[in-house]
Amino acid sequence: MAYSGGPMTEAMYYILLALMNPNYGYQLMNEIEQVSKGRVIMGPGTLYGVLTRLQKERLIVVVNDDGRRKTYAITQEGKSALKEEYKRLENMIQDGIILKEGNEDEQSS
Amino acid sequence: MSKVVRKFPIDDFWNIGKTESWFSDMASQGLHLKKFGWTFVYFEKDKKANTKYRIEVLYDKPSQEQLDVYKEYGWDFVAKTGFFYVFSSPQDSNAPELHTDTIEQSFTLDELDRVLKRNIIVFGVATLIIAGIAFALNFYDDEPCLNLVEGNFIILFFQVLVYLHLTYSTIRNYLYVRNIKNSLINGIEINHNEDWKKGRLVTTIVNTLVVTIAAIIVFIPIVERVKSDEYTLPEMEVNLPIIRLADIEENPNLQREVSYSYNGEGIDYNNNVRFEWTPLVPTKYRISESGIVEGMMWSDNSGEYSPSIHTEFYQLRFQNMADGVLKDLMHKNLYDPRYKTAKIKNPNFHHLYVVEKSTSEATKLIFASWDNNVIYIRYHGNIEVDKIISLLENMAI
Repeated sequence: MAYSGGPMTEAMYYILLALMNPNYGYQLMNEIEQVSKGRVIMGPGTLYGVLTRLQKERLIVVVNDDGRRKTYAITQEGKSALKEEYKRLENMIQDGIILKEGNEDEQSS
Repeated sequence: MSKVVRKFPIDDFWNIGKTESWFSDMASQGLHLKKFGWTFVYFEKDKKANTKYRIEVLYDKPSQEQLDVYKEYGWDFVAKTGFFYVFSSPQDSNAPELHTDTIEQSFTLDELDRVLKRNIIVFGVATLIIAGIAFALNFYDDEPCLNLVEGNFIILFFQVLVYLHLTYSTIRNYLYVRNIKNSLINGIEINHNEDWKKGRLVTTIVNTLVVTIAAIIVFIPIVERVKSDEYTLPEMEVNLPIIRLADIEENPNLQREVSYSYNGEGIDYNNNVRFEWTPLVPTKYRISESGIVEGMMWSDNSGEYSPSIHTEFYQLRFQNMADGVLKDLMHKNLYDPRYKTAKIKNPNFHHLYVVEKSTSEATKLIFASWDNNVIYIRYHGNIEVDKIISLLENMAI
């Protein structure tokens, strides 16, 4: 069951993003909280659910397992999927720019 | 040591929200989940507590690291069965939810969904095969009543019931899982406080039945084995539902004709008693007796006169099975088209049939039923059938 493109869940996006630097489970959750400035708080069930799924889809790999903890890293496939998603989100923001201006218009009037 | 309380699971574990809510309610009554299987759930009796429970579906054994992270976030691992892992947290701990993304949570049910779909096919096919075997075994020889009372049909029938239940619950579980999955995809979280009391009574009744039937399936063959018996028919008077050869022949020179083929247990197969028990036939005897009169010849000079009698006696659990069993016994034993069957009116029997090939033939067959008893006698000898019937009357009265 490989990842076939398309919108990612928020959890998947942030985990891939955080794994641009190899990291392990517990630290990942803190990292995501920091990167999202406290906006994304991930439950451990979701974290490990996504990690398991992404591993199966070969978007991430375990780079180190010392028996105590596993260190994960994003793969090349994962990177390109993430970049594609980033572009998609960017386009969405671009397309929605009217909202930002409209917002400013409202504030100025 | 604290007391362990055992309960049937509610509407099965697959209805995740209900099961979580049930565990919580049990904990608030002082029953704390200890371990669980598909048939029983074990609780430890202790102080009442408000506890949240969450069921995680994990296909691989979670690493210690993973369990540690759950614990760090306030969730303790409690018990597991199959793919189902149960975690708990005190109600007031403010532990964050295990799952914060419903779509990602729905993905965790994908494999379960596939496994259940496969199981539906497997159990469905197994049910059909077992039902087919049961049906074929019971009807292949046109003796359904006889097969029913003395064969393993009851066990097969119960097995069909168990498989049907298995198929039904797999389909139900599949639907539970699919509903949960669809809700999650649509962003609806699992309701961890769903009312579990609905359907509890029905489930308990069904589970009790299934467990009882499963126990019966195990015990019937054991009881049948323990109760069955085989031994050499004693020469002295015995308390068995048979007519003795000596009473028919009334010949002081009649001696027992012993079989040449004694088996290891020392049973004389010319003069043996076989007792069997089945749930529908609490008493079944197959008894043979053979004799010989030295110096006397068969009328056709084919050898020394050696009369024999074979009796099959059924005491049935239910009287209304007697007609069917009698009919099937006749079907089973009257394979020779030359047999001529005569129905005889006799107030002592419900049915009485005498079968002979011809009046000169030495073999006479008698089939009779009265109350819940059915008997089949095959006599080979010179004595008239009327004498055997009058002896049989004494038995029926």
